[in-house]
Amino acid sequence: MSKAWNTVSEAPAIPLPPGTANEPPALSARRSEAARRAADLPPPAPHDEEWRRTDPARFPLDAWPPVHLEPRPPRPADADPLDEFFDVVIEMDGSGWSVRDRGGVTQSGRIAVLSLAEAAERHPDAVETLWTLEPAVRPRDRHEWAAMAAAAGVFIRVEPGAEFARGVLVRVRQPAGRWFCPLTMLDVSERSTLHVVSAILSEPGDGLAAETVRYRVGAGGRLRLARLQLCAGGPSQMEFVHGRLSEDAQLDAVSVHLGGAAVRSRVGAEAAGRGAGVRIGGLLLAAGTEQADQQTVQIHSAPDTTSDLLFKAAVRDRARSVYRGLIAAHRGAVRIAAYQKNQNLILNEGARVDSLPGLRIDADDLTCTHGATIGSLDPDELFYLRSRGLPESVARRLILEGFFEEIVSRLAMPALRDVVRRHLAERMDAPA
Amino acid sequence: MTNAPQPLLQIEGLRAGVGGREILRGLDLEIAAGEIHALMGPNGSGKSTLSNVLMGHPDYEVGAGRVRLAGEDLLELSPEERARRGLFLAFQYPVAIPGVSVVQFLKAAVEAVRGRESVRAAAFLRELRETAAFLEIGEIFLNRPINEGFSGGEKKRMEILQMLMLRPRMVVLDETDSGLDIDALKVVARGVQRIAGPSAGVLVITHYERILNHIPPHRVHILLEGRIARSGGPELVAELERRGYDWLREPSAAPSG
Ligand SMILES: Nc1ncnc2c1ncn2[C@@H]1O[C@H](COP(=O)(O)OP(=O)(O)OP(=O)(O)O)[C@@H](O)[C@H]1O
Ligand SMILES: [Mg+2]
Repeated sequence: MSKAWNTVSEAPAIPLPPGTANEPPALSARRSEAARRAADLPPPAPHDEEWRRTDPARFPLDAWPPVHLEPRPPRPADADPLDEFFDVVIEMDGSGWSVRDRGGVTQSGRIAVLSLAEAAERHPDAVETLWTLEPAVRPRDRHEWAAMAAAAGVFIRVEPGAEFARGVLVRVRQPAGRWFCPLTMLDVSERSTLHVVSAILSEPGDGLAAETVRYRVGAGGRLRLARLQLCAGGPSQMEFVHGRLSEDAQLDAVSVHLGGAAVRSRVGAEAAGRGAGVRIGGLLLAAGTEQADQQTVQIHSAPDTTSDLLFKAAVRDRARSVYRGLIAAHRGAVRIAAYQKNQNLILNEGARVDSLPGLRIDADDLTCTHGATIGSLDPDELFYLRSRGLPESVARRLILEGFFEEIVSRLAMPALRDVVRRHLAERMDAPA
Repeated sequence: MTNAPQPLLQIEGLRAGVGGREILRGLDLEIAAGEIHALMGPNGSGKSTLSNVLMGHPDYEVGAGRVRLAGEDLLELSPEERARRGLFLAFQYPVAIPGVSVVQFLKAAVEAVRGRESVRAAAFLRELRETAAFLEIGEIFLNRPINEGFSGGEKKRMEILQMLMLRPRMVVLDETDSGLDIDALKVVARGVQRIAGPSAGVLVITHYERILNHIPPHRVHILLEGRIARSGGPELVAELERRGYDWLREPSAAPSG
């Protein structure tokens, strides 16, 4: 309890987890810094542009006791049918985190799954780099710093040239009534391939969860990252996902949000090496009184890089969704192609969508396309389906499934697509 | 009339319109099971309006009249209920449903119309493949989103595929022949012939004699300004080809049987 961040008592309270005393000093220093930075930033106010469309009261930083994620042995009860599609299954919940190496792949020495503290000892440079990665065009806010201060979890490193296409499943169960900050660091070396799926579920109740994901992909490496949030009726959640790609590296990321009382999502990628390619897809279906606020950044800091982003959202009942996109092209990032599209469906009156695409271009000789659409279900499509015998509710669901199919089909695993489709159908069919 | 069998489709004094404008102005039409009828008429005379009203498009208002399918009042039913009673409309302009494949769409439709229990997945797929082959529709089409990026002719074949899979007893084809090449026309006609039979009724809406050579109608009706201006046998088609519609507008051209 002698850690520096516990002494910043005059500043607004930043809840910090106990039990980090054994961590390497460099990591402790980073935590202290994060806590201080969080404390130095003012709490969100409703008139802030950032918070104008989501209610800060749904994200209180000081209302819940923090959890420190310590490693623990796997529990047989955690097993799930989805596990069989993965080599490694990681569980994170209020009682800690565990790893099951189903394929025995960590024995090979080509993939390492470590706690943050272990990684700070064995791969200090990687941890340092990943910890400090942030998009210059959007510095961390108070919540993100606070999440870093309390973050604990898993570091996964893949050695050069190694392929883990079957991949790693990270299952996060958000506990209610806590300030819960799981962390995933992905260090994908040059010419290696890693497939990571994270499934985020939550206990019913309130609380606040903030997940941090940091990744880097070495030259010619490839990262597939799928993130599924299935958190209806659970704590408010935030996610901060960002990473950097070296020469000819590729990212294929898909995020799926199907439920969460309040969601703030920040997803970013920087194409930092010549020839790097970023592909990001997003799907969100909000219902009830849910509020979702998603921001993406696509950064091009090297020539001949590409990025392709497609985010689709549908809102029903009185839910609302805000999307803000940013494409940033740095000076010298010539011959880049950047694409950003946000498509929205409003399923009934009373639901609301805002879409704010943005560009910050300091380079020339580039192709940059962005656009947004907001619409409702097409009555002619509905009639066509009904004329073939489908009840209106089924017709609506089918059109919506079709709307999202472009994103769902980007998921590499059929089993995962089925999970998403099933949850989509449930959300659609649920009464208002 | 008293000994005549009950008509399959019976339209009486139908008045209907859209956007506050009356388009059908007292339309009468009867089609018995086993019969093929043709409906012709100039652009804008109300043929597609009739199709939409029969199918129950929510934008169309019915002012007066009755429509019965096998004696049951259709106008009270939702579009999906009409489909389940065996009514099928092949649309003049079929819409695309992005992201919904033909297989997915038809599976849901067949389950809805024929009943989930009666269709098992394997049998459904076999039947779909066979029917597609019969209509010379390549298998790759079955996994494409319905009508998305399909050519005009491909969309029309897709309508016929849906018709055969749903096994309706009363079919309305709204200009299914328009824009078809000669081979596609034969394929469509072959599909319609498969459905036509002693218990089914067919209404072929068309501008052209061509399709009627492949699907010979028992009766031909001419729709003018929202009413059947004349009905007759197949010889009426040739007469229209020769004379156009103008002669029917003359006051002397009283509607006939
Ligand atoms: N949704 C609508 N809103 C307003 N007017 C409409 C609408 N639908 C049809 N109409 C009008 O109703 C009239 C009849 O149209 P309809 O489509 O039924 O004609 P049609 O006989 O099918 O013509 P075509 O041979 O060109 O297909 C036309 O004047 C048309 O402009
Ligand atoms: Mg028409």
